[in-house]
Amino acid sequence: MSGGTDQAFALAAAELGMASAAWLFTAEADASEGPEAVQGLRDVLGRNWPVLDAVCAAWQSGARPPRVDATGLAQRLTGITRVVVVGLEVRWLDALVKALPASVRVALVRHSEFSPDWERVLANFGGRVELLELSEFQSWAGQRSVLLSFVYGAGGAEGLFALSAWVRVSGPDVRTQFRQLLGWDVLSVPLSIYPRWLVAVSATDFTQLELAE
Amino acid sequence: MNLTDPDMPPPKPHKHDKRHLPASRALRFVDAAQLDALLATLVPEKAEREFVQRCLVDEGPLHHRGANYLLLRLLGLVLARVPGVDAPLTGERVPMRLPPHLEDEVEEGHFPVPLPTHALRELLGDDEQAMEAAIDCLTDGPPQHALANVVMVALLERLLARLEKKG
Repeated sequence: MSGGTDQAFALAAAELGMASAAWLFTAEADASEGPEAVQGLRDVLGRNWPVLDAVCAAWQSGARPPRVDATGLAQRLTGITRVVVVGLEVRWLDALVKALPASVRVALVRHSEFSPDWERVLANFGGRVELLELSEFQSWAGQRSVLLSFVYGAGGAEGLFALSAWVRVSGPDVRTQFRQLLGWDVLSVPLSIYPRWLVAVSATDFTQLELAE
Repeated sequence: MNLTDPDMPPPKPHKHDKRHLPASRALRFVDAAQLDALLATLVPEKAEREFVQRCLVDEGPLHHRGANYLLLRLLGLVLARVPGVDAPLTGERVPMRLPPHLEDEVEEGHFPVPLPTHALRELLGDDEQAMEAAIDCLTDGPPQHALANVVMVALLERLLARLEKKG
């Protein structure tokens, strides 16, 4: 395991999302150096990156990257004109953007603990995703707007977690400015160590919880 | 403590001014389907209605949620005693409480249920300033207040219209 792996994963987590990066790195480690490399990835980076730790553990138990199909979700969002996304998971966001009609505007709230290069992040979406500052995300509020947060661990016994950005945007006033508060679970495998980077949230914070496969 | 233990003495009756119902039981009377049926007469589109219903009985302090439900259902019961056909709901937009610096930027920053004004006009006559103040009073405040006001006015207006037709 090279010394630069930590930096590489930090960059990938910032610009792809922790779960998206974790599946990518775990698959690459296994493909290039075999199961020992997955164990090495977990040993070296797992304590700092609990989502990666969970994905490595799941991989060792036979799990593989989940199939992401946003078709059903897009159908359930019929009538919606705007989606404001909190947090970043490109694997899931990419699927959602492809499944939504072009008339639905999608924006990311520009807030992250990981300091991504936002222009590079946006470049992945071919102009379909815009940026909203934390101070102005409510300019996209409305009766046909959805506030979407990626969440982690909805299916596990350890609880449900989200990025701190969700806590910053989901106050009582904001809750009634969006038609739906949607949580989209991106981690179908259990978190087994302290969920650094994440904050515990309640499933009842959301009007709809989209479970991972 | 086992609250269901038959050997325990019965709890002392609460004084009228000191009720401490556990939060888990405070809204036990809320029947979402019944409220949905009532709201469907005002907000036909299901997703819009779910949004309005959430603002009325799923957000804000418990006592407001419960009071909203009870008052709206009671008005619904009264309305049902005076059968009639109602016109679709129209009226003044009910704005969301957005940060002041963003208010002009939001295209759909109002709730999907308008405040009808026919009954208010009957009450206040041609005094436009009084009308403006009335609309402001009824639509200002957090949604658990404002939307409950609006739905109550809508139901009262329908009741008045039905009574008038009935003669």
